[in-house]
Formats: sequence, structure tokens, C-alpha cells
Amino acid sequence: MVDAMDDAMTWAVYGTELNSRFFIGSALYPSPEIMQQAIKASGADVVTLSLRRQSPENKSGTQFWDYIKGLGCHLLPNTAGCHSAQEAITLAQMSREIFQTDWIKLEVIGDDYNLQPDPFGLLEATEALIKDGFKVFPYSTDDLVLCQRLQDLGCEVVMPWGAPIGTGKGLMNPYALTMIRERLPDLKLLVDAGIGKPSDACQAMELGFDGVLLNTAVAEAINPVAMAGAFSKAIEAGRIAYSSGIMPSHESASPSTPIVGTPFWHQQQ
Amino acid sequence: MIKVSINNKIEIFEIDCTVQQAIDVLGYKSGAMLGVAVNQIFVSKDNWTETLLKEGDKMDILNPMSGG
Repeated sequence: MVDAMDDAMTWAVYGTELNSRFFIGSALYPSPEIMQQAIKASGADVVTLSLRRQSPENKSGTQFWDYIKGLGCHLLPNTAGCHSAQEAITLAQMSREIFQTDWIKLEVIGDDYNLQPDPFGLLEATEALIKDGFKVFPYSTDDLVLCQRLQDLGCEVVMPWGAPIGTGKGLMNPYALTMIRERLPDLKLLVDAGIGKPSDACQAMELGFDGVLLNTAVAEAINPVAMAGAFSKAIEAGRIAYSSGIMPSHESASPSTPIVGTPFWHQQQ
Repeated sequence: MIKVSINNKIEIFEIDCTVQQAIDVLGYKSGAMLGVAVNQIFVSKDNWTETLLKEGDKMDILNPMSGG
């Protein structure tokens, strides 16, 4: 049991030891102060962020950076909004120079309605970025073969969606996620996107996923700081449950109270 | 003079304007955290002073921003 508790806290990605399995986003919070408090309450070691166009008179980028750098978290820049491999590659290169990290959360969007990843562009960009020295965290669909191909290209971690970004629908296809976990046991897996409730995150961890990346479910809660804490506990609980060995389900009932010594009716037979 | 699209807005610069000169003219602060791409190709900060802009170039200047 002690081992299971320890395992819940510490793991490593691309050679970097982390003390949390919660990756948290930095967008959509009511204010930068609440963002900072929520990220602290989450206990996350990794924060996602992005690059965007801003005019020189707009100081929001500088202000945002001031809040983020004070957190002391590992940075995971994303390529959100990119619709081609080349766009994503260019944005990744810009992010590496600005944030001084070779980690990149690779997003190549194939459909604007549900923000579904483009598997072909994702593979193309992943291959190029790994050759360029990046540590790629690809945001993918829950397609087993796609996850396998990403691992073949050299990804140590893959991040299949639970549901489309921002929907809060939870794990739409637990079967597919379970299959990925079982078929690719050496691949580190995070559910990225679609998580709505702490129980969704707990479910992902109970399936054997190594972590969860989410943003909207915390940022758009009525109390984001408290919700960040709730997710932290759920993720940890799910991981401990997985490590502890979840009992198999059965079709028929089985009494938990011992039969031997049952009073009254058995003696009357 | 040359016309260059900066973050999707047309700006006019002298011929032989470099990326660094364009950034200065536009008023970005020295030392600001900026990422630059010209025609969707990354331009490292090390190359800003020697990369010349041409008529019709499209330059993106990006800053840190929140993200999920």
C-alpha cells in the first residue's frame, strides 16, 4: 500500500521527475490572480500556455508571463490553432526560443467544429519536431493505431482526448482508452481534453492513464481554486486505486458479510 | 519603401529593413519576449539583425499568452 501511495505522487516524463500527475492549463480564468491561485491549489508541476499575436502597446502578454514565471512550474507550450504540420512546426520553434524548453504540446487541428486532431498532420509534425530535438506531447484522438504510430516515431507520451476540447463530456469512449492502455503498456498516457468533473479524471486514472491534462473544467468552475483542489484529489485517488488493483466486476451478487454463523433463517431449515 | 504584413496589418518600411529594425520601429520594447516568423518560417532571434524583409512578406510577432 505504501508503494501505491508513493507511485501516485512521483513519475517521470522525458527524463524530468514530476510530483503530480495533473497538467493544468492557464486559459479562461476570471482573472490572472485566480489563475495563479488555482494552479497552486492544483499542485500541478506542468502548466500549458501558448503564443499569440499582440500589438506592442498591449501589455497583457508581459503581465501574463509575470504571473506564470512566479509559479515555478515546468512549461508546456502548445500549438493550439494550427491547422497544418508546417504551422505547428513553426509555432513550436518560436515557443522553444521564447520559453526555453524543448517540450511541446502538439496540436494539429483537422476540424473546426469539434477541434478534432488531424492524425496525418500530427504524424508529419511529430516526425519533423522529434528530428529537430523536441520532446513531443501530441494531442491525439483515441485511435489506437495513431497512438502506436506516434510511439513508433519516438513519443514517450501521447495524450488522447476524452472528448472534444471544452465540452466537459468526460470520457466518451472508455473502451478505446482502455484498449490503448492495454495494447501500449510502455507508453505514457494522459487524457487531454473533454474532462468535466473530478470523477471523469478519476476514471481516466483508474483506467491506468498516467496523468490528466485539463483547463476549462477548472477555469470555468464557479470557484476555480477549490475545483483545482478537487481535481488534484480525484487524480491522486484514481492513481492509487489503479496501483492498488481494482477488483474485477461480476455479474452475480456475492455477500460481503460471512455466511457462517448467519442467525435465524438458516437454522430453521 | 516596402509593404509588409505584420500580424495581418499592412505596415510600410524602408527598403532593406531587417526584422530587428521592423520590431524597433513598431515599438516593441527591447528585451520583450517575442517570437518571429516570416512567411510562416521561424526566424531565430540570433538572425533578426541580418534577415531582410521584402515587399509582400508576411511577418508574425507573437507573445506569451494563456493556453490550455
